[in-house]
Amino acid sequence: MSDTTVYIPWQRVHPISPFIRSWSALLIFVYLITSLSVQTLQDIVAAFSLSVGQSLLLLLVVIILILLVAIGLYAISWRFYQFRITSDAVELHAGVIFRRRRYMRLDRLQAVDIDRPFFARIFGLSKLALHAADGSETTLTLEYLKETDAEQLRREILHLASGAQDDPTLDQATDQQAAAQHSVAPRYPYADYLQQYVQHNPHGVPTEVPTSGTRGPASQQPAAAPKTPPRDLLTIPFSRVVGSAFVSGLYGGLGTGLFSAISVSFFVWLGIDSENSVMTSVILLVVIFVAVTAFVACITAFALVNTNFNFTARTSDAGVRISSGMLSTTSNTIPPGRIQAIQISQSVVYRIFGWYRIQVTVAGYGLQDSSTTVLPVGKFDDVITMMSVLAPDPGVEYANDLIYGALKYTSDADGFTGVPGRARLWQPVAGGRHGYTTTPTLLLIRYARLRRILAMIPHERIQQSAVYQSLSDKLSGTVSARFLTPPGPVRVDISNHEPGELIKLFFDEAQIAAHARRMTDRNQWMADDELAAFDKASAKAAPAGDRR
Amino acid sequence: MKAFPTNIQFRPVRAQLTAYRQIYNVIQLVVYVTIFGLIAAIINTTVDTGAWQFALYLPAIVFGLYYLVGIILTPFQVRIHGWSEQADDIIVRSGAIFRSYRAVPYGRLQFVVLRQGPLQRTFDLADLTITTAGSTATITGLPTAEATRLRDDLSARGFARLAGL
Repeated sequence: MSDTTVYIPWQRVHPISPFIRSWSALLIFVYLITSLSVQTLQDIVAAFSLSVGQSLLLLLVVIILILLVAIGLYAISWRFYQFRITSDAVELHAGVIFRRRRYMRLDRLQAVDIDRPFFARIFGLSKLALHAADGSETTLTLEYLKETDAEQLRREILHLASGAQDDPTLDQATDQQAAAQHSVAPRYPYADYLQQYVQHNPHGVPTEVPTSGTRGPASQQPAAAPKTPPRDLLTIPFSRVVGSAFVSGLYGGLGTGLFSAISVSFFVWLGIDSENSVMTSVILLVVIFVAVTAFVACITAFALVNTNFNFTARTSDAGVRISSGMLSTTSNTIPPGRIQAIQISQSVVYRIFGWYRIQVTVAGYGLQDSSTTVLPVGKFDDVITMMSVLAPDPGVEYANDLIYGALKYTSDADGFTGVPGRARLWQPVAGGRHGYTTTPTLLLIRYARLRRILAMIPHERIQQSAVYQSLSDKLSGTVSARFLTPPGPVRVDISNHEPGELIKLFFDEAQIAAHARRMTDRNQWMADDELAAFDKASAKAAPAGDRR
Repeated sequence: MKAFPTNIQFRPVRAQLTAYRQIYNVIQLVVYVTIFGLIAAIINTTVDTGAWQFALYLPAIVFGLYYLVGIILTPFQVRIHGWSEQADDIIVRSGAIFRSYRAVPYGRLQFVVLRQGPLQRTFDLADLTITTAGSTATITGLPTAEATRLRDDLSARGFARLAGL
């Protein structure tokens, strides 16, 4: 909409969606109305001594009136909920009395989710959630759309956000065809390393990974050149989903059960008066423990199975797509370059089975969003498969071994720093394991001994770096650092380290990050002119930057 | 933090920041000590608290000590507080005892906010808050002209090295 003022018509959501948005409120409303009207009806029937037929007729009239009012309200609500997608933004106008206007720039788009809550799924409808890093309100949701419409819109939005200039609405191709037609290869700075992930993976990874030989020429051709079709990365088998859900549920349940049994036993112990009641209280405690454990375990396990059922990860030029869910399903798309940080973790129970979990920080998602988990339970092969997409350029050839070693072993020679002996007091368990190392593209930080956590932050994603001294640092003569990313689940602190090392890292990080940013900063991940414009602007501002 | 290189020149904030902060510290000291002292005194005169009558003055004493330490530390904090504009980032130094250095890359700036209250205006002081997608860094007590200059410069550099995220 910059040079031509083409009027782009407003669109509306599916007519039934106001009903789905408010079905729980509607149920309460209907219940209240009917119980009230039954009461008044009885009074009226008694007062005018109406016959059975007459009172039934009256009831019918009341019901029809309620329905008409409800439909009228819904129609108004539906009419005032409209959206449109221009070439550079998504706009949403909603609300009758309190008007809500949302305008979201597409170049700030961070992720696109299609959610299908259970109730909406019955009607074959989906919710489209657009996450952006644009001001305080980060999510724009369009609820509800037909499933095909939602997918079409997602494709269109991702396409516009990518900076490619073709209009995807011109042809009604299927997902795969459209993706194949309107695409260019995402230009990762060191695409060749993708190969190295595979070559150096001792466990073997599916071989559909495109080789650099076929990629190179393809990316030189104009935008219409066909690109590698979307490919499946992995699907988590049902047995593993159930197994991990059961194990995690039991683990959580045991904790809750133990806690409740201990707290109850304390009060029972206060109230014990005779030998006779000791036996009954012990039985009571055991019953409470077992019941609470089983209850919590079942609930947690079911929730986990429901969320992670049929978990599938795919990749295309539009980014990573993760879909999962049994009763309610979700399908999240994270475009390339939107991942701010990655964390691979192993809880204590996951370590027994050799399972891993991957979480990512994406600017629109925030801390608690379940969409941040991009691999709920997977073997190390799956971790590497996901990593080859999440961080396509690890910067070193031995990335697999580095990640594997960092999670599995603790040796002095693996390149990671450690907490110095004089500060072990503050980190008695994690001590030797807590440390960092860097590759040309990533900062890796390792945490915890019993569980295993490895955080990875691309240098150019660091929003602010800080070195500071806390009280414990002051006492032991060490230094802590923090490398801030947008809010997310990934840990970013380095505590109690040798001052010299960490201050060197602080300055190195500034150097690397400044350089890496010039290489990779792009809002529209496919627009060719962005890098050129960026370089020109940087050159122009260089004198300003160096002025003192 | 002795290991931090000394060849980086930090520009200090305005010395009048000490006076401004001390006014606030003294006001808070007087207000809190009076309020909590009065409450304790009133309770002690109305109820016979026995051995607890001195314990009731504890909140007043704690608040008094807290702000006294603040008053003692403020000159050192102001002397340490400063910023340094590097080629690709701005480093903000703060903290008298618990020192911290924060580096914000220009390319990550989302917005720069300049704030100035009425009392600050009489001292010619301004606060500059630098916000990125995941963090904020604040320089307090800049001279107004310098703050305006810094805001414009930072915005220009941020725009030039524009990154979004």
